[in-house]
Amino acid sequence: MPDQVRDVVRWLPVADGSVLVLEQVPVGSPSATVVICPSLFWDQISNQRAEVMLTRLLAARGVRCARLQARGCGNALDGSAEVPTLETLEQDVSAVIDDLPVGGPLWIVGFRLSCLVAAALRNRWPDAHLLLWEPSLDGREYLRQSRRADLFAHLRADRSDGQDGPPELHGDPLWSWTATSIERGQLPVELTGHGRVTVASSDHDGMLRPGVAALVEEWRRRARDVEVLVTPTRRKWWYVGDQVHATEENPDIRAAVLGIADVLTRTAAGSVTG
Amino acid sequence: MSPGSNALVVPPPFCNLSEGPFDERYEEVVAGDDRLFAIIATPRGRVPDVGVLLVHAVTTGQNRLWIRLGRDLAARGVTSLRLDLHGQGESSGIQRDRGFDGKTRRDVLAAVEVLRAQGCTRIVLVSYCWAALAVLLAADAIPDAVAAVLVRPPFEVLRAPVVLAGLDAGSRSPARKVLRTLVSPAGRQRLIADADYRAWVAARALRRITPQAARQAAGQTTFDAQDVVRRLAGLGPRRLSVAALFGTDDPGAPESDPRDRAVRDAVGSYLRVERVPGSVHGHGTLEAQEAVRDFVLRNVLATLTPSENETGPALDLP
Repeated sequence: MPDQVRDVVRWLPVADGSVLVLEQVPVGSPSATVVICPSLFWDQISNQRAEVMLTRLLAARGVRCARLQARGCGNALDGSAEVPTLETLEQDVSAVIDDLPVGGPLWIVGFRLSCLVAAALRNRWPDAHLLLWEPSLDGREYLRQSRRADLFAHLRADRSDGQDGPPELHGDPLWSWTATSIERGQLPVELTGHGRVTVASSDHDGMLRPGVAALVEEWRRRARDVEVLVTPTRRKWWYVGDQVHATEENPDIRAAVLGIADVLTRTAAGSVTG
Repeated sequence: MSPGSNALVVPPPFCNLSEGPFDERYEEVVAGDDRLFAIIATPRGRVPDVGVLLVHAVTTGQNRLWIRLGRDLAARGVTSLRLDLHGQGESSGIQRDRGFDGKTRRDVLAAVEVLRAQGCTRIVLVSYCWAALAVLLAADAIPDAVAAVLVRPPFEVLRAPVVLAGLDAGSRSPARKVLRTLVSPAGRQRLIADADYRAWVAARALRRITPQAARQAAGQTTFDAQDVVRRLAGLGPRRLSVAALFGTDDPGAPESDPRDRAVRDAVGSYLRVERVPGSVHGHGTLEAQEAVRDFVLRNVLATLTPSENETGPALDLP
């Protein structure tokens, strides 16, 4: 890690709990601020190293980056409230953005389910740019896929899927309030705000995933300028258990992260036009 | 699916961390050119003698089991440090070396040094899977280590004289995994019924068994198993208390397989094995997490003196 980047890790009080904020801060004035919305369940683990790689890369290019472990997740695990839900995730990210010093344009990045959170945050920060990374379009579908991925992981490991026990996904409990909130979530057809929108989605025979492509078309039809980055990752939702070891050495993930970093830094420098 | 139809309805046990009897803080552990992410939990208002190093191997510091363990232990009066090894979780670096020395050993020793700086004079090493073996082997350089509590240490990797990266444990090889899936009744049923699963198995097999993967693995000697076994035998005179947990479905316990005789001879004098039904590998279910949590807490608390163990009621943390 270059010396001109500083790691800051701190707990930030939020409502009736606290979140763990992980920042990479460049020396000097940042050219932009990037906040990555937190994921849930296996996505917390599977994309963690890619996010670490992305934020360190961006910070080395002069972009201030913040990630967080939201209430009810990771080191902000806390049983005192009905967390996490999409709404509490939104509150947590809002609190982090409020707490960050203003520095250049603001990018809000979502990964899979947290793209729903990122899109919702544009109600408060209409000028913020959005980067939606492998966006989940629909919370109900996300849960369905997650349950099947969980089942496959148990089959792979040749063990019981724990169906007799309480509902869970990949070793995390699935609380009723979490499930209810996720099932209500959808990426909106009508995006609020006026910042840029970039969709980074994995290769599907050289094209976007069909569902994502349809949504991008719809947004464009509504006069929304949407940039598309087709990443070479061949990751599929059923690959639970992959991409944890030596993520940095996976050429596909590396290429995806570099592509996303390029988008974020080019825009920070103001060279991307609509 | 109706909202929440397959979700937990019972709320989690109440616990406001700000009112818990311990404090948590982030600590950057410097190990060579890497900066490792660690969270230290300490009982409030006292400096314990016992420090527990939690090394969760290939999972990360976000894993709920290790977070709960770290807090449980602090609530019971010992200092805990949960560590992301280099290349894992939030730590810097890339984890290329899957041997037991090199950077992994360096990370463990650096974290133990941080525990000592907290005033800990007796170190308990708690670890999982591959890191459990690495941590156990590192104990030869930790004179104040009093116990090691290991979750599914993969002793089976020591069956081969030399272990190669990517082609290590026999039971974890891609071909055997595919075969095991194909022959298990649940796997067969799912293959017949589910097109997505068929696609997953096919894609995975193609991806794993490729000339490129073979090239990557070729010639990368990770460790000399015979040397590892010799070093394990050398821990015997240390009188280190070593307990290991296995699920009945997990490989690795050096019990009856003739291929494990050397390991059995090496660790037999000090290793105490416990078994729970099912598998604790990956602790991918809440049930497995509870089994691991119970095992670790029991064995760590057993290292405390009676006066140290009087630390008030145990919390049921979320």
